[in-house]
Amino acid sequence: MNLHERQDLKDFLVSLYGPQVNKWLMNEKIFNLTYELVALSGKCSGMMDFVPRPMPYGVSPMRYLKKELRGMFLRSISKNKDQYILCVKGAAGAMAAKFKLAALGA
Amino acid sequence: MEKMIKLVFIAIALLTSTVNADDLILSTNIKVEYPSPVLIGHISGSLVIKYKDWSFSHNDLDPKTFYHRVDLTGIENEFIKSMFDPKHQSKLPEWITHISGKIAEGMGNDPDSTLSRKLGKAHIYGGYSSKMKQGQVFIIDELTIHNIAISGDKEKFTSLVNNIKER
Repeated sequence: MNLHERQDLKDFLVSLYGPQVNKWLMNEKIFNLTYELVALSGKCSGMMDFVPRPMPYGVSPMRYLKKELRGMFLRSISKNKDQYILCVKGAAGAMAAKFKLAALGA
Repeated sequence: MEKMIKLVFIAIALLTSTVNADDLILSTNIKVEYPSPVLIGHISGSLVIKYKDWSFSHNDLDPKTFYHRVDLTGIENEFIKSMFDPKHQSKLPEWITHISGKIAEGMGNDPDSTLSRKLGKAHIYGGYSSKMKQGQVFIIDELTIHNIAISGDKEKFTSLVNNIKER
């Protein structure tokens, strides 16, 4: 991820998990979990446009998505976070353990 | 001599396979008994406990940041209750219950997994989603709300919930 993509991802996750995210390193695992979260939630119109289905099992979304699509996905979730947060917040709460482990590089 | 060596190996195998439980003290009233993990992490005020095939995290809920752009300070207990028990919705403004309802819906909890029980002076709410293989628990304690997130099979979720105990 380039600098802009990392910032877009962080913007979205700060809205979702609060200011603690400012201390998280935006890495591939964090991106993949964010993508998984959106796919799991499955109800956010607009967000789902960037979730190709079916994705091969075990594939890293970060590597599977073309660079342009990845950038569009991140720009969209950052720009429209106020609209999207409510539909992913429920699933995100229980995924917190996974996100925190990913932020620790574990 | 050979028998002796075998016995020593068996004893070592038994000792290393024993699952030890530790206590995670959440407050003067509440603890969580958890099996020995493979990793314990701490990041941004949260504790993360990892096992081979499941994990859980704990943090105190911050009403100022739990839901972005809405400071829930003063109504956080009712907000959490309203996510799991509709009768509490009448105690909150409609627009707030809209938010709590949407969050509850997004959890996708199995209807038979919704949890609501007293634990001394505290109250435990929670639920598990088989579809997402994850669950969440809120413990409304005297001075704070504990938020525990669990990723893994339902059996692990149930076991952890049953190990939330009074001290």
